Amino acid sequence: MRNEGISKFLFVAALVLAGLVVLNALALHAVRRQYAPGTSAAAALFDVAGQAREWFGYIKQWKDLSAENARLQDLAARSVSSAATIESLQAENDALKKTAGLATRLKRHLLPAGIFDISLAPDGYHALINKGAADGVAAGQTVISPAGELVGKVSAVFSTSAQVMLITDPAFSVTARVLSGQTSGIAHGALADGLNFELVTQADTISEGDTIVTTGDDLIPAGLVVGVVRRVENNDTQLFKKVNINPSIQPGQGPVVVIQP
Amino acid sequence: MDCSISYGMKRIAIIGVWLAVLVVDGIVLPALTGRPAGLGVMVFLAALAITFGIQRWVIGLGIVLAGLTELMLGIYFGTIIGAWLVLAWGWHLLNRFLNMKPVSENDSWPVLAPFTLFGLALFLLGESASWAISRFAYEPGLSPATLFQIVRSPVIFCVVTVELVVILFIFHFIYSARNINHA
Repeated sequence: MRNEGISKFLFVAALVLAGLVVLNALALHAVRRQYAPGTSAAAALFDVAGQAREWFGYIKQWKDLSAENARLQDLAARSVSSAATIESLQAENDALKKTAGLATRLKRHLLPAGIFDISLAPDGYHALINKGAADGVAAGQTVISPAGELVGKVSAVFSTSAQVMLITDPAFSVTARVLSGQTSGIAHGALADGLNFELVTQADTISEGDTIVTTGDDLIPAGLVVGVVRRVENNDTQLFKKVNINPSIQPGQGPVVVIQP
Repeated sequence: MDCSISYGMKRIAIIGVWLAVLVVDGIVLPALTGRPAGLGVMVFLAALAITFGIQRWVIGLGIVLAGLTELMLGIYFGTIIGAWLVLAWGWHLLNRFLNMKPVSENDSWPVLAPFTLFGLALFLLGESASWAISRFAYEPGLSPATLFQIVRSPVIFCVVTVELVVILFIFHFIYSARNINHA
């Protein structure tokens, strides 16, 4: 009895199902519905696990990127420092190349130095260089540019630095002459006016644009460029001409050379 | 008889096993065999029939769970429900001829071995019925090769066997004669 009941139940269920399947296939065009998230619960779980793994991956990636960023910043700072060192060495090399010719011409020992401070006060024009007594600098030594232009002379010496009196300082003077000419005189510093070329008689030949160089008649070596004649005032009532020189080198930080005996 | 599990908890436990099978079926079978999810539910239905026998409540519960599976997996209506009815009918006929007791009425564990073989046969019957319903009701061009790929695959055979043994073990552990509360 029980078995017959089960059989009948199965038969009825199969009939009902068959009717519903035919209805779905013919009338509803085989509609399929899916109500679960994703293709299955497991796929959704996989999705979440994958997203969590991806999220932790982002955190790890962020940590790695952070560490790499710090490393690259350090590398960049070192590169900048290296570039600065290379540039400094290049400048020093250029200066040394220029002074190499000078040393041969002057037959004197040259000490490369650098100006690190300039004072253009009404009481005098001075510069500070980064070489001092420890490097053999002594008072009275001539300071020139690597190109052979007169900068000044050492007025005070310290252990690792020295004070240089610039050529435009009123206390500075040097015997000079017109390049490729006979006219000579004494060039005196005139502060903002450059230098005054004194003791040039009315009969001496000098004109604007002439280059003035040292004669070597004093303690400063000969052939160093002082400047270019800026202005010549002729006055027959005066014994001497008033000649003004524009110094070749303007005071500024940069490489210089100290002429040592 | 010691009735340590209440009647209501039995039903919840079956549904819990069904959900677990769906989750595992969505991970293991697709990952190992490349087949879409859905084969595990057939194993579950076979285990359900073997464990409890063919009773009205078993048939009704199987129809409900098969229908829910069709909705969740987006399968054609009736393919799994129809397969379940065919499977249930086949097991019912076999029980009438062999006069077997369901697994839930057996205390011994070794009985799982022959029932596993029966379960595999029911699984093949169910898959064939599912293919036939899909072929004749919805997909006229569906090739038998689709079915043969399932029934001839050693990987699918091994995975199905393992799933069947595990589900039968769980059912037997929960619903053995010591614990069952006969309605």
